[in-house]
Amino acid sequence: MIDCKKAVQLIDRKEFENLSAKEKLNLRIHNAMCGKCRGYKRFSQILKSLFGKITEHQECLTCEEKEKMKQKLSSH
Amino acid sequence: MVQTKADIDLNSWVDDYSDMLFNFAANRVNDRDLAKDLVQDTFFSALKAWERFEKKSTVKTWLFSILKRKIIDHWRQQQSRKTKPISQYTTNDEDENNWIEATTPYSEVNETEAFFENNELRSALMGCIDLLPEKQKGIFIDKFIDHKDSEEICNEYEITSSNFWVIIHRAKIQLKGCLDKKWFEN
Repeated sequence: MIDCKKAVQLIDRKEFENLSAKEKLNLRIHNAMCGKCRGYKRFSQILKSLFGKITEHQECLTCEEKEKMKQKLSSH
Repeated sequence: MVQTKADIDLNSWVDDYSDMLFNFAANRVNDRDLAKDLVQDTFFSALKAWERFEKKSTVKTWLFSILKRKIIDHWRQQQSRKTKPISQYTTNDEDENNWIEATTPYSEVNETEAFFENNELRSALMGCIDLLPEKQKGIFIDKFIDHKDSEEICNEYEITSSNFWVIIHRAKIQLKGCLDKKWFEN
């Protein structure tokens, strides 16, 4: 059975990459027996969702801010 | 051909690139005014260096590279200004041993989804990212916010794939500790 070090690496990788069938199986077996890694998996999922929301949130400058910036640049 | 400052259409720079640059900066410094200043400084620096710009890359890429350097400088200054030890969130030891802290509490983070739209949570999360060490912060943001390819990040930071995942893991654990303190305990 894989250890926690390997399991958390697989949990992290799984969020971004496809794992091989063997890796998936090893992770499932490990998680079935390890509450700590299950907790880490849950937290990782939450964190990823949070970041998904952050990237949806686009910060923009207002027209006024852009105009002020143009003025400052042109007076430079 | 020598390019002069007169060749630059500053208004179109602001129109074309300021939002992209601003969004990039705002996601990294978690301070709207500071992000705006960094973008403005980027334009000033670009203006000064325009005659040396060899057009080997696009103006956009060039501006982003200037902004990135400014953000890193800001992070460095910020790190050096910190008076409180941040060792509880920080470890520079990227040794592959000590991969998972046996005592790390993985307490449940309940109903987080309900807070998704809450700016305070966003701010807390960005504040926690700010506490990460410079390299860890850069790598984490590249992966989780910019969705860069892992291999590209490894090349950029000259780290191995294994080391990369160690850094990601450590950053997550530190964020968890910080969020528990800053957000969930309140």
